[in-house]
Amino acid sequence: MKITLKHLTKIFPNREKGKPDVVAVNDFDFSIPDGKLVSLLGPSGCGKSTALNLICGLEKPTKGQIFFDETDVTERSPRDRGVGMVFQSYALYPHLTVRKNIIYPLKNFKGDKKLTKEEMNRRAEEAAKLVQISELMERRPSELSGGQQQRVAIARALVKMPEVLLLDEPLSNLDARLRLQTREEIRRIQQETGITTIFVTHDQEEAMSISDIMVVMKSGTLHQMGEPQEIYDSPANLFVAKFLGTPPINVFEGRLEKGTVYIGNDAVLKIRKPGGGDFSDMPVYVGIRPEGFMPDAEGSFVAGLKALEVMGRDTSVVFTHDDTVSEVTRAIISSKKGLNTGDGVVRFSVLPEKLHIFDKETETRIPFEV
Amino acid sequence: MKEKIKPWLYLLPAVLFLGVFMVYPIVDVFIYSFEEGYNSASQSFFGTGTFNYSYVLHDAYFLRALKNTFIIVIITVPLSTGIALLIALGLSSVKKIKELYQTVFFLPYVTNTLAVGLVFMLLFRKTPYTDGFVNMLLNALGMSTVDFIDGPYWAKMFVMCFYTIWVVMPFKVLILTSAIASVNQDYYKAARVDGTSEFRIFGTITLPMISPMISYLVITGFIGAFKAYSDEVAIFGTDLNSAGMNTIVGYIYDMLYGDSGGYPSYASAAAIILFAVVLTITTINLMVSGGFSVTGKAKK
Repeated sequence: MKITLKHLTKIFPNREKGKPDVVAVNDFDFSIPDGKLVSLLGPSGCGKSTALNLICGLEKPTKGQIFFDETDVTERSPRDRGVGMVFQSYALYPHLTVRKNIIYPLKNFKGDKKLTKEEMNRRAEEAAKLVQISELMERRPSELSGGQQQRVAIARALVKMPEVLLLDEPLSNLDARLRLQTREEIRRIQQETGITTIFVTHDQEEAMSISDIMVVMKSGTLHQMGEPQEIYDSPANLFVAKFLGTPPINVFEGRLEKGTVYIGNDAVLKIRKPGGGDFSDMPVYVGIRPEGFMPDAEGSFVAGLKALEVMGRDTSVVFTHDDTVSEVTRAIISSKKGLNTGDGVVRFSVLPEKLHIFDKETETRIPFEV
Repeated sequence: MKEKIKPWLYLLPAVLFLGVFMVYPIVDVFIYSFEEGYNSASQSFFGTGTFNYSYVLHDAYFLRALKNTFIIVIITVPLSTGIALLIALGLSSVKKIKELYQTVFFLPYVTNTLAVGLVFMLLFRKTPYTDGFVNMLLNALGMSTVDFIDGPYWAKMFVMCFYTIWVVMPFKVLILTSAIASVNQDYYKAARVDGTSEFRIFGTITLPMISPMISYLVITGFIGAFKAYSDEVAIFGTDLNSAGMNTIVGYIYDMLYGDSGGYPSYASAAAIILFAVVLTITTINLMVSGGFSVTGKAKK
């Protein structure tokens, strides 16, 4: 099912008197195509969960509309929207067995949708099979591991065969290894069922690896929407650039002078406007991805070496630079060849596609050609 | 060796205190109950046997007290718990001025029992000058005047139960309100997204989640109601036998210090009978409520 948000806004009154209201979701206006896995990505408290609650109907929007396909569901109760939802805490009923937990939503069906006991059991078993917990049906949630509980929660959300599946930070309670596994599991289940899925997370790596489309947001505002690689390669602004990627992008104070990007006295790259034409001189932020540095004895980017961290596959060079804005600046290089560390100075040349410049005022990215 | 003594050393004050003021008296009462004709002044008795029990169990006053106590227990415990649950549910769904409501419902708890008894007397008592507030209401509804304090047995029992429920309610409301508030909101959200009716949410989520607290209230409620005495005094005065409203604890008190008192053996026997009754009921309660355990482990 295609989900369309039209000028969706949610404002919460501030609990402290006199303080301005909190805009949790600010004018969301986009569509989520049918059958895709979309992640809402942003730092904690940016309104991701509120957006999810608006879509499932637990919260009423202050303004705007929500459409499922062509139907306006804004005024519908959660019951009539028929979405499946998985909560961060899983919210499995502790006093019921796994089977009863999964059957729970089916017992709410009324009228001609009402199911017999056998049908309920059959559907619960199907859902359990899909998430591979068939042998755990008679256990209680407290007797399951975190990953198993997660699967039960997904089975419970899927058992009523919803056309929309919402996942609210589903992996944040799992340990690192299980997280990787479950992430792939969610991807597999989504692709097998083809359910339009919205996945809320604050972990950019998780979002990048799992989603067809990523929605990056901050303080209730949408910053960029697109395919993960596309957002990574051409971030809309400094926030998006900084939020995506581990280790994070290195940001420097720089300037454009005669069509050349300068960081301090280092002329890093010569650029021109897309389609030709010269840039006028102005101060900018320069962002360079860690993988954008190439050790080069003749390189134009000069930095002080702080530490070398060998990580097996590649090497991380922690360096210092007078004009940096980031807390730590580092380059990831595949070989130490050409890295001259004799006098405590390292020289790099910079890959143009890994370098971004941002307007100093608006922090939006300025596109360029080499 | 030293390490083994240490914990007992820490426990010593509590063990001493409990031993002197709890264990010793209990054992003593048990012994008294089998000593016939015990005289506390001369510390002497005629012999040992079960005569005290036989006397108490054939005493019309004791049987009356036993009946009164059972009626109070059976009426007030389920009713007060049920009404408290309704009030707690109401309080949990109120959003505005919730604190005010909570305070109002909790006020009786911090009010003195005797003061409450006085107010109930004013409401229910019939005097030469006035029939009391409740009778005024009854008259306004076209019913005839009832003497609640000195009148028929059912009227007195009604006032007694009304009063008991009113006194024990605030604590139960408080416990249940916090029990309901401590249920993880995600359960409700999950149920709502699945289109669950409020009624089913209550039956399948709220009730099982707060059931440990409910059984706690029922068990302590039974124990408290079996030990009822001061509430009766607050309404009917100290001569409960003539009012026909005595309770087991009242009977024990009368046997010790009342006008017909001075019989510690009979009092001890009655106390042991009460203990046996409370122990039996509590055991049954625990066995029944074990089946509701939230983790479900106790069920096996």
